[in-house]
Amino acid sequence: MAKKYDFLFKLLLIGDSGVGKTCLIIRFAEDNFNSTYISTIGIDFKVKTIDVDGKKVKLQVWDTAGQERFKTITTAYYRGAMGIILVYDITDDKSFENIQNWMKSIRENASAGVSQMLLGNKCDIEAKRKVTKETGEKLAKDHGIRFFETSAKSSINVDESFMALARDILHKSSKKPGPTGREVKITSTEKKSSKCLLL
Amino acid sequence: MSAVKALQQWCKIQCVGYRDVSITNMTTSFRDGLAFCALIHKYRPELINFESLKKDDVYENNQLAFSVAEVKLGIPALLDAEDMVALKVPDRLSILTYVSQYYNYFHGRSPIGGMAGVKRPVGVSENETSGKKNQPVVAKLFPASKHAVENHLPASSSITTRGSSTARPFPEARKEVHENQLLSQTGTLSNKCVSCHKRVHLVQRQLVDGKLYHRNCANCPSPAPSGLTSKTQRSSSPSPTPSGLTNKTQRSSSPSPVPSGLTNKPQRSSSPSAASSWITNKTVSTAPPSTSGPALYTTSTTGANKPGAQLLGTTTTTYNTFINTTINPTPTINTTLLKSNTPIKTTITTTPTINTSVNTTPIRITINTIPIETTTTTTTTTTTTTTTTSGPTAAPRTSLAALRTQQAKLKFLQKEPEEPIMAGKDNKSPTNDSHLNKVLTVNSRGTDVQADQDVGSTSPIRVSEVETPKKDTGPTRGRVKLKVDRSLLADLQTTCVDRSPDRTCSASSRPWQADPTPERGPMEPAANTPSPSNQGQESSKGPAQWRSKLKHVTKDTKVIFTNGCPSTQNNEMRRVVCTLFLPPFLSVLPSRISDSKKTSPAGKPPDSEFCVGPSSKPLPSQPSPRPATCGETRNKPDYIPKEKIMEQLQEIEDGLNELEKRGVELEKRLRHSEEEGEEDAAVDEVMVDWFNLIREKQVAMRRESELVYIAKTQDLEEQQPSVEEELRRLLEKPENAKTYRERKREKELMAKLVEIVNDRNAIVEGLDEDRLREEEEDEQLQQLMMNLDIKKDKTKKNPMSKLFNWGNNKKNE
Repeated sequence: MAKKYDFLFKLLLIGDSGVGKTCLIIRFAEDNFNSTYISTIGIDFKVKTIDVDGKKVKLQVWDTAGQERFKTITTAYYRGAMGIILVYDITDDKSFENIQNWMKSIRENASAGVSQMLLGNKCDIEAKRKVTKETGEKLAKDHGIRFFETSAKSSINVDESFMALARDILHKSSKKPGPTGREVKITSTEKKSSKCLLL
Repeated sequence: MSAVKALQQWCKIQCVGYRDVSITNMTTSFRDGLAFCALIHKYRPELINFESLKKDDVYENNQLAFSVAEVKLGIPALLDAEDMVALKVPDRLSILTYVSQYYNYFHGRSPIGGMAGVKRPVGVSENETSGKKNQPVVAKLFPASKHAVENHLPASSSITTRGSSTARPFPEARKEVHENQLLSQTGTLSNKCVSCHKRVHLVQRQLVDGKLYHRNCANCPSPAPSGLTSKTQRSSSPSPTPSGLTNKTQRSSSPSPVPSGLTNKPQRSSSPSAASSWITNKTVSTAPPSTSGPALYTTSTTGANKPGAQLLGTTTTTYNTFINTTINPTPTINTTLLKSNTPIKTTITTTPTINTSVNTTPIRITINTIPIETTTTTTTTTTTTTTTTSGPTAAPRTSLAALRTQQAKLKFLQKEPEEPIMAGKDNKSPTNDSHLNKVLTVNSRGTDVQADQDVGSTSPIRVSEVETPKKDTGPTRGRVKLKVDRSLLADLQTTCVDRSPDRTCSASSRPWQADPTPERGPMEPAANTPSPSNQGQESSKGPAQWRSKLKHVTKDTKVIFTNGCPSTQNNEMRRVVCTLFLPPFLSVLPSRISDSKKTSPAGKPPDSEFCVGPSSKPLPSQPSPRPATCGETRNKPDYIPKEKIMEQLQEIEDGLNELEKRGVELEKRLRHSEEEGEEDAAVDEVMVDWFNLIREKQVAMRRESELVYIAKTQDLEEQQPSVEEELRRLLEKPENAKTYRERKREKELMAKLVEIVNDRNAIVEGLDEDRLREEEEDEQLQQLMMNLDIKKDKTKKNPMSKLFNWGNNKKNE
């Protein structure tokens, strides 16, 4: 199993609480959806191996809590990410406005040159739309990043968006010589301090 | 080119450019250890500072190479530094075999890293003990094993370890050992298993804590008996080893079958708490030279016993029990010592702080002076560990690889106890549990609770002890193994079936205070019985309990299992089970349920009714844990049911046994033809078979650790929901309504959660590093093949690649 994939990419989802980060991840990793809202606590991740241009890419998708109270925990994980996915809810313009703040957070905490992508989730609820697609597109374009409108519930653009980001990272990394796919270690400090009995 | 020549050629090429290394044969060229170091350095330059090595430091070089290879690369130490010193011409087959492992490691693909070594993740979690990052647990063990060798006292070893857990007091101490070994070396040369006293063939070799075992003898994964016990048992054997001596002394001193025996009592009185005893020890120990002169203090391994005792409700607190021999000059002791004619070396190892200094200055006591003094009362507190190295003793050998897996397995097993704690509502006193947890993490034996806790930093020692193979004399051995496996299985099944109910069950069925289970009987070597090998008894209790618990669980689990997991009706069943088995906590249920509901998207939230358990006041609004995120492990396509893992582990075990059988035969043939002076070419086929076999074994053991990895990940994933659930409940409470306790708990849980996630991540990363390394290795191999065109490689490679694919249908994530 160690030889099961060619690359390991770490992706991180950020965005306001309730925009559907976890649901996107669950849709992506497990092709499942549950409409019950349960806020994420702290941090979590899921892993899925996908095929990108003939390469097996293992995606470790980090799910962060959108709530402010977990900010200190979650920002620690920015640095290890090779791709960061900003998520807002198209039915919630506040969540869209806040994307700016999340972008700032990326600048402050993530590694330089991290691939980014903007997702407007819940596009299945057209009736309640507050943020037009064009607005989202424009923001993404302004920052030179990919944009998708997605629906975890209806499974729209979920795989596509993750795939696209993975491809971006793959292309970026394959330009570099030497072994690819190696990323910065996440949270070494946390590990140090952890009083662990899990293993 | 013959296989041997090819291997030699490979070594030669690898070592080109290394000062003082020239490979012209497979014996003396390796004797000074530089070649091993060069091989390691070639591939992992960061592990060895080759420049600093000196050709003349035979022992140090070898020791360095062996330990680095073992700790960092997971290559088990087949060879023994002492042997390399002692033998002008080292055993060729041993070297060939050992070097072939390097070859396999550096050129083979190692799916998981070290042979049977569970890598980083484990280390990370264990590091906490020393507070040092990245220092593998194993490293900590080294000092211990060294001392163990020196002292041949189980207890002492533990003590030592404790002290030196942070530092690596190699050089001087080593020299000491070395000298001693020269005087009396048996070491590997004896080829006798410390456990069963039968010859150990190369393929079976397992060096544990400085002792040579059959892999099977050492491997008893039973979490129970601490190293001590085994040691004691060992010593009870007629062999005139120093440890034998000590034991005898011990025995005589404490005739009572009570674990701590007489000796403990004095201590106990003087120091009511383990912690205090430690302190006292420290002070006293500073002036050991004076006391040590005439008196032979044996530190008994009681540490292990004690914990047990505590579990049983006794008050024994001290860790190092000082064995005060009630009997003056014990005849036995004297004789043995005299016979061996070796000066008794006294190493006084006490508290952590003192330790290092003490180590470097071993006090030598002449044997004759050893009237064993009885210091029963106050003096007892002195933790002076006097150990005698003399006579034929196993050379200090440190092989940890297997241990690591072992450990991992054990941890695996032990994870159970954590659950209740995490849930925070275990019936038992929380303190006890938490103690347990901590201890468990550190030492897989899990026998000692408080002692460890109190001692705090000393825990690493425990690990070493834990790792010490359980030695069961004779007949029981096989069975023990089985038992162990079963327990493991039980554990696995438990987790796999249904988290909450099972866990709960296990929790409830975990009668820490209960009497030793029947199993304990068989585990106790008969030999020990006359002597109050308290340790044996005690420690066996611990494990037995474990096992019994686990077994219970298994049963329960099975019942549940039959109902078929994912079906909805099963939920009913689960619920029932859940209610039956007490769960004052938890939560996992809902997620489980949602599992079954998985197919229906946007299904209604799991009913709160499923949250069984008095304490889990279901919150009306959001009683259920995030269904999809948390629970799903089992529904994941790559999920390997734990029974499957167990099965595979068993298969591996069987395979290993088979390999070893074949290996023994091959070795005999090889040795025979060597004696006959046959040319390498003549036996080339056999040699190739041999190398392949060694490699197969390595691979199998790697696969074993891989499986443990997988199991661990899954395990973590299953732990997460319950932590999350409780945390969620706390978080949802308004801040001002929280009690101090709740706030504290919340913090703990948060930390715990992050830790679980990080541990899972560590496994992902560990696997990735292996993958990257493999890639590099493959490249190198390709190069080598092109450059050398060694036919042998191909033959080797084929079966191997098959093997490597073995199990590839399983995915970790």
